[in-house]
Amino acid sequence: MLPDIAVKYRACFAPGVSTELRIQKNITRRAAMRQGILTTNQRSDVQGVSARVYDRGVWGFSSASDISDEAVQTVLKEARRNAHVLSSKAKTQKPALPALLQGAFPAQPDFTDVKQAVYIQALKELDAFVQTNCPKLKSRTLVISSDAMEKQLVTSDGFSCHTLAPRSYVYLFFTGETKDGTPVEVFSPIGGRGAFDTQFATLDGVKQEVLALYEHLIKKQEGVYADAGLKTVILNGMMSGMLAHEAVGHTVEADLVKAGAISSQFLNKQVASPLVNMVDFAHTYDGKPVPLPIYVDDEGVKAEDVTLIENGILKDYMQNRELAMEMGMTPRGNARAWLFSDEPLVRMRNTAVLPGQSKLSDMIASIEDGYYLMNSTNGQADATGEFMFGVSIGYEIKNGRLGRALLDTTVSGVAFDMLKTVTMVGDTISWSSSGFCGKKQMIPVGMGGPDLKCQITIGGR
Amino acid sequence: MNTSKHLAALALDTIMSLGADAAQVSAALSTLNELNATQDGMSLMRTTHDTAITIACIKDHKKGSIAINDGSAAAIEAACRTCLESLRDAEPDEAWEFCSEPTQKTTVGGASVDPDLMYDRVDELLTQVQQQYPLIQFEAIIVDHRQSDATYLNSHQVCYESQKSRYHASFSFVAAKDGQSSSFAGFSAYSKDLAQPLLDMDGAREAFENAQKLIAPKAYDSKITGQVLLSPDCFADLLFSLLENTVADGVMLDGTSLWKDKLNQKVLDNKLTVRLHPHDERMVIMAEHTAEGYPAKDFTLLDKGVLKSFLLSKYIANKTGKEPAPNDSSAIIIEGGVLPMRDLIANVRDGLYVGYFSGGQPVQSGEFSGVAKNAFRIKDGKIAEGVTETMISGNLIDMFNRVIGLSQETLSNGTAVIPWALVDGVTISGK
Repeated sequence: MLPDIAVKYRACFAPGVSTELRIQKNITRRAAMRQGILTTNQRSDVQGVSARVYDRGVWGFSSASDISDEAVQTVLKEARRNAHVLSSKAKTQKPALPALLQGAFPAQPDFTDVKQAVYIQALKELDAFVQTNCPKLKSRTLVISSDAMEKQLVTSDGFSCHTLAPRSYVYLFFTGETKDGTPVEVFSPIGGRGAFDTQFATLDGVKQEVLALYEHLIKKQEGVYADAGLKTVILNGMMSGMLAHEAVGHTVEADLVKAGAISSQFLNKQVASPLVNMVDFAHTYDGKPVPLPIYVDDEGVKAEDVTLIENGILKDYMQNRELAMEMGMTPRGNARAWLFSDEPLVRMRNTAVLPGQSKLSDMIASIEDGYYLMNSTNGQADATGEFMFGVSIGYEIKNGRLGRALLDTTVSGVAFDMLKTVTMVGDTISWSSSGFCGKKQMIPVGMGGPDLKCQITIGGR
Repeated sequence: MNTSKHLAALALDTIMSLGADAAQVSAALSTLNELNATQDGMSLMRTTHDTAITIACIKDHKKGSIAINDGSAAAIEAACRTCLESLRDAEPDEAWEFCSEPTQKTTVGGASVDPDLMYDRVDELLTQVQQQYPLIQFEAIIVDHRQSDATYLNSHQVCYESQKSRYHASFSFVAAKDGQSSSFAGFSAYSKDLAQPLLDMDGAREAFENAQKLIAPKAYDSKITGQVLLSPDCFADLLFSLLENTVADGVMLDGTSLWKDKLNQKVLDNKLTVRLHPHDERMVIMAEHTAEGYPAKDFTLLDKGVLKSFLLSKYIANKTGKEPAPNDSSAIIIEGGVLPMRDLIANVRDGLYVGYFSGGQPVQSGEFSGVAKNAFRIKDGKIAEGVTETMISGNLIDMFNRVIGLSQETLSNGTAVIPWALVDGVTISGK
């Protein structure tokens, strides 16, 4: 745990400018086995201090990888100097940022930094289980990854806080082959919020997922290509979470809105079926913590939920302080940085489609000819609202029943066209936080959703 | 004052004295100066002072590694102890090794940071683009300079030192008019000295021109299997996806590579000669050694479609009994072809130009599908209207065995030199 020292430096802040001081540590623990061989055995600790200053419409930032009085004084001075030099050269004269709610968020409980031996033993146990129970695999790769961000933040204007955000995942990658020897692959992430010893007190849940994933692979070995074109599909919870993130979320980040994203034209307009509701959650959903709880963002803004879509109407954007001021809107804690040496950017937190009323069995039964798409590999979004994500596990739906497995494919569409085709929304939400979102910096994000029946363009033959 | 050599030597001495059989340390001290701007003007000046220390050790044929950024003696000692502890439960594997050929090499290069020049170049770009490409709206312009002092040392008297610097410029933008906009487009390139205006960097003008032509693209209205012209970025992206699935460590270790027995055999079209040449004078970013400390040597990966090397680390080479790659850079060079682009596409009746590919990860079989981004129809030998909601799919191995030609023109961005590539056998489909 970082010593609680940031608050004492508030007295060093220059008057008349907004200042953030952040002391931060990121840890990553990773071990990987491929075909039973331990190919990766790594630990990483990155820590340091940074300061950011806002002066008449521009920012100055400085960071150092040393946590000391001298380093703090250096970064504060350099950030102020960078802001002042830039403002003077660019002759900016924008007003100060609006005032924020002030306060202090209490330190969160520490977590165990699990020794590397624990990860290696877990890998060995899982690998042995896979070898015994999945005899038809051509290859298996198991990865265990834990990371955590610890931040101490003190600001001139807003909240100060000491936050911890660990997460832990096991990733399974299985390869089989079709009758003609063509490789087929499946992948599954299992895990969530918390250190490895709390998330995986036993490996029983992972072993269940091993068996389920193996079954998908066996079926995929007999898989067929999707028919290319516009199709009726059910996106499962993981996929609809990806949809919330890629198809909508990025287009309503205020920096991309300002840069020309299509959502700039649709505020308070119908952009989706009235069945669709979407929220970027700060820290709690339905009384429980979301995968990556954010209580205070890296600008000192106390975090609140952002309702993005309500009954199909676009209601809000995700902001930072500066853009919120420009747009006459309210920042709700979306400014986040990945490393101590990164400045806060507008980022999603836990973006989810809200559940509805329909049962999955009824949704499948309602489709004569379509697909049930279950697992995504990656995704991307665009200013025009065009999105895509890769699909690695999916099944035909024929006459209301699940059919043959699909070989890998990609789905795409234009978000605010595709969301208007949603006709059924499942009644259970699934959450995931296994990957990273890329922008200028990577950052962990949570995403969630229920099963969704909609129309989407699918790639195939 | 600490130097990278001092930190590396301290870490190496510490881990060897704690009982490692062999070890390697990479240490780097760097300063990044970065200027950011948006369409409205300058937005952020950022300076970071970074320390990076990576320690890897082998004991009883078991390997562990740790990365820290605290250069204090106490932190280095703690990291070394953790590194040794982390390997205790690993299985012994005699394939782990570090370079054991004693080597000493020092490289120096690059210009010192000139913040005024950086400011002037960004200011100049904003002005020039407003005048010459008035429909462009920047999301971000980022110009940075990194100065690094780096040292690699290992326990076999291998030592590489470098004092280097470079500039990097990247922009992301849309083109917009009358409430409609193009897709996001981007540009990225390295420079030794920022001697030329940013707008004159290779590929910048084409990026802005294409974006302006992509406002209000049309929906693609058919489905054909035909010819596609890949931009250099798209060509490199798809080719490297294929190489990752055919000649890289993972697929070679588990034996699922379709090319594992194809060394010195023809695997792709004979128009493809691919070199990894980090020492080419067009490369701004260059590492002198591999991750295991071997000197980085230029080599040919594919020679007229014949596979001449795998892309293996020394560890996987030892595991598989094959040769390691002479360097582990991504300094790819594919020289241009005979015809200029306009002649290359002259016989394309109905095809597609793809600026970049946005799709699921291509799989080991080579199958791929995804969205053609920043794409134009090619009709009757010319690049025609911009298209949207257009997917391309096929098999990368098949596609790169059906290369109709490479353009005479190449794009050189400081890390790669790539032409445009016209390929056949791609399914192009709309809604």
